[in-house]
Amino acid sequence: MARAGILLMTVLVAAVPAMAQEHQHAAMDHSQMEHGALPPSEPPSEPPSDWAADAVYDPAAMAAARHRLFAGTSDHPAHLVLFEQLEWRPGAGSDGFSWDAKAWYGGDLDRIAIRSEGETDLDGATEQAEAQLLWSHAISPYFNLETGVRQDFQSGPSRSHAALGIAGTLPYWVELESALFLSHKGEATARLQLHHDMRLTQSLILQPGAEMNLSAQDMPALGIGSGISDIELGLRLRYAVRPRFAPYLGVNWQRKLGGSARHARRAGEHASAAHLVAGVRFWF
Amino acid sequence: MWSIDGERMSERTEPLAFRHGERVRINLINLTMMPHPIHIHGHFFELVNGHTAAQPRKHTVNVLPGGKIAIDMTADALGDWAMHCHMMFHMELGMFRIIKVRHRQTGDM
Repeated sequence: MARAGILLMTVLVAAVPAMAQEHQHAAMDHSQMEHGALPPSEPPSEPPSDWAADAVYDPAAMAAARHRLFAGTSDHPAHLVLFEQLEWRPGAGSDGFSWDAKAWYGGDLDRIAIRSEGETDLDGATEQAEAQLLWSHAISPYFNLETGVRQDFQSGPSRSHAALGIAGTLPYWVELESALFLSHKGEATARLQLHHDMRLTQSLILQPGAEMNLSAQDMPALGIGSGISDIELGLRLRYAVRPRFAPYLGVNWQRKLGGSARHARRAGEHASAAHLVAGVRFWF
Repeated sequence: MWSIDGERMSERTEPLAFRHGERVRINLINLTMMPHPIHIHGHFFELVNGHTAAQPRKHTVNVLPGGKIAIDMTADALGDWAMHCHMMFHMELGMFRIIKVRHRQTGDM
């Protein structure tokens, strides 16, 4: 089944020779062996089908207990709500805030996941927000395939998308989120996000992060040009008061590129923005 | 996700079967990114560390990420015994096996 590649702990069993005097047993006749020679390994015995406790306790009660044991050592549904970023971005004009959050419910291999991110100015206009509803399926020990839908919420024209992505942990604990989006108007875009937790101490964690958005076509109505439409770099230093609650300070830099930058300048906006940020990372 | 030989306890009822008095070597190979303290009930085992005369006798051994540990155990206690990762949240997700120790059957060599 789909467990291939998720083999986590391997146990190999073999009969071995007794190493010391106190471990000589009837199975091995050491007197006929040359010194240092291995005795022949016996083939594994057939797994017994009986249960030792049945000889002592009521077999029906033990059967019920075993049923609970086997049912209890299986895939338990779990859940997580994580605000990776919930932050204040003081600006020259209007202050803003932004968030990047995810939540999931399910087992080891299959989960329902919600992702949401966005940023807004305090003057009221929601600049940009989105939510994704995804089915997350483990395709290898460290990667999930995420398929679902994404809805954008913003002033002006917005889009609904189909989403297909891969999220997981790259070697050296780099967290990856990537996705392809196809909007209801047939526009293809893509996104790549990376971040890494550098544990300066057990509680003090420096997190560099990067995000890149790509578009297959020019979308003037959305202010997005074709190619690499924008990049974002961040560096956040958080103090985990406890693992579930970690306030942070950091810097965040966004830059629109190519056609997106031209669209922004034409609209009288800056192509790049740098912010000091203050926020909190928390989960429950 | 937490399993032994790729299977949770709930997926595999077949135990590890040992004969009474049998001397067995168990190789524990950790393919995960977390350490797993593997605990065996009812027995002490010896950690195969090269010091044949003075190997540590333990009932729990921590297997480091990417690591392999060999243990030698004499199955000297009849009955059904648990072998599991002692991080309870791993055990409860299936990182658990039953060891059955029985008398030698007629027909066994």
